[in-house]
Amino acid sequence: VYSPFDSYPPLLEERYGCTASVAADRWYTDDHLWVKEWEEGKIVIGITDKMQSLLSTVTYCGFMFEEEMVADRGAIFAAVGAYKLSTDIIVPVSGKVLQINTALRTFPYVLNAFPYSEGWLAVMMPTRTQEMGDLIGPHYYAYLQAVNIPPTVPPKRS
Amino acid sequence: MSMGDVGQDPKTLLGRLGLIPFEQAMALEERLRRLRYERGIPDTILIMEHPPTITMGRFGQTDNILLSPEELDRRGIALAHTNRGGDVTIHTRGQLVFHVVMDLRCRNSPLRGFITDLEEVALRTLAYYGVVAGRWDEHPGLWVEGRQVVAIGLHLGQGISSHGLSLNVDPDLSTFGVINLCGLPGREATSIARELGYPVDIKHVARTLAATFAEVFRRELTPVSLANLTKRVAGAATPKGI
Repeated sequence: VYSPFDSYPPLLEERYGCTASVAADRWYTDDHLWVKEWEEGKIVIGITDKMQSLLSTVTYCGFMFEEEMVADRGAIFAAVGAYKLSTDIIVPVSGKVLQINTALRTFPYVLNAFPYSEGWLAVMMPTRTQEMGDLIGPHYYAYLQAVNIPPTVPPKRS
Repeated sequence: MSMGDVGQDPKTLLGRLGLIPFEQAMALEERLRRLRYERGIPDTILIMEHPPTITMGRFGQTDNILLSPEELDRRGIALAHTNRGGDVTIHTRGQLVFHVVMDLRCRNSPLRGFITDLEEVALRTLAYYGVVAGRWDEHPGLWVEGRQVVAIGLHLGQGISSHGLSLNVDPDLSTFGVINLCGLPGREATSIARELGYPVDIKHVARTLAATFAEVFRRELTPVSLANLTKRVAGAATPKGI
């Protein structure tokens, strides 16, 4: 069972002027998700500090997938809602869903408080590991947020 | 006020769709959203009317619909489930539906500010006709003395917004009795015509709404017809090189 209490993430010291905090020990997508490599090839996914600050207080978190289901990259994994706005969480890397943080259904605001630790969304076993190569590193993610330009990588087609 | 996004391309398409079934409009909007994501079109706003349709938001409770599915059928009211935020709402003739397909990927300030800006568009439009509406904490939308005149619900997918707000111009207000407005029991709806006591031309309100949007968000609007929009969407769907 994934327990984020094992370690609080080390944060990037050099943030290039990015106002949100960025955890140094994981990978990112341009739509504000993080992907952390865990033990035995498993990955953990979640939303970034930047995304929670864009959303303000999260009042709803619902999952479109259940454990043991296979989620393809680009599918809608979860919906997060705040103040009449519903946001799609897109699967960053295809894989089998091993665990879902169901506590978020009851306590969605944990996403605001601890986006990098207790606010994890799911544990997955990637089925196409080459997709991990499309993720961006923490330094580049922080840089993109600071310069506030759309990423130059071509958008992925779902 | 934040008022639009600095550095954004001011060019915005304005689609006036007229009276259009909800499902058809949503199919078009979803494809516009996808096209916007691929940067195939600039930001687009849609102004339309729907035949009577109840729509459920993602966080909606079905018990906020006060009639059985059979009774809804009998009254000719359609039911649609959507991916926007918010609870249940109803669209009908005489109500302007204003949807925004906008790229918010570069936005650095909370998205709540974007919703507040949209509310500002509706507030100024209402003020133009002499209706004084206000915001109500925790209940987004605009209210006139506790009666709802504007409902709001948005969706954000891959950084592109869709859905938006609906503004009651001169609808049959008895239609709104079949739901708990925005999930609030006992709340009634109102309209510009009811507040003023005389009817208002919905096309005029549509023009005012678009002009106010351009003012608040600092955009240049280019009107496009439904046919033109559909053509753009269809053109983009054809794979290149065939």
